[in-house]
Amino acid sequence: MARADATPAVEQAPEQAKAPGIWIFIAFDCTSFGLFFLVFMVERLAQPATFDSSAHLLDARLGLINTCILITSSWIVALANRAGRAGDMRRTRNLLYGAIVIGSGFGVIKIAEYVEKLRAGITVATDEFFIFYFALTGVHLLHYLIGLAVLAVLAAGAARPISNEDQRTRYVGWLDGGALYWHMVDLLWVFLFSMLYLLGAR
Amino acid sequence: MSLVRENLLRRAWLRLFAITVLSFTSAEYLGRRDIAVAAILSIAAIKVIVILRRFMDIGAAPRGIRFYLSAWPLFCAAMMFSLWIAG
Repeated sequence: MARADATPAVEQAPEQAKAPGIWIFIAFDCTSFGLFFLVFMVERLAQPATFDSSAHLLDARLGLINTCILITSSWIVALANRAGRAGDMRRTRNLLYGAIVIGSGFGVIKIAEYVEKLRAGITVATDEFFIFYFALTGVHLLHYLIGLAVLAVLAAGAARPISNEDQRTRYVGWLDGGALYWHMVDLLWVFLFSMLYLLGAR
Repeated sequence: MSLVRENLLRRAWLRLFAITVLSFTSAEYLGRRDIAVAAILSIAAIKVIVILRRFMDIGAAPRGIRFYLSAWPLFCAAMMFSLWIAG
């Protein structure tokens, strides 16, 4: 297993070399979500009262807790990313497991929220607001689940012994990409939380 | 990992936490709805910018994508506010 002081070369690598492919994906995904936000706001123009009264049915406190969970797990992943670049694989692995455990709270709350809505008779057929609510949070939940799986693979990768510099450079490349993806899940949620839970609050 | 970078990340996390609570409080308690919505969306844009800069190291992104992603939260917040006002 690589040690903290063993090979700091990757940390010192040019920043421009950091996962260019994932940036293109992130830009594309942000554009797609931006368009979803636009469609939601345009649809809201036609029936603002319906959208606001339906938004009142959401529990903004759950959205707040989920935001705090994602922000915290994102911070831990950023720490893990830097630990990985510094060659401290043990710390990287522990931090990634920590991010997964904390991040899991988001999924638990989201599923509980869905169940509670369905039990109250609120479905995609309720009104236009809830079509958007289930579609947007559902697509985001899919991104989140993929992110969790990526973090788990990266944590398992950090637990394996890395014997040479090539392997380590490759691992750090994947770690950079996985971390960026997880941060994207976080930043998309920031706008979803504001738009779905807060704009129509009270 | 340098202590300075770790402190920067911790401060970013605390800042994000604080403004998230501020955003929630604005939504629940601010008297004028237009001011509350402006605050909520401005805070959302600020949060995304903090995540991009501190957690994602957006400086490491290709130049065009860096500009695009830096403008994206501002565009989203402005678009949402304009359409909210129009409604």
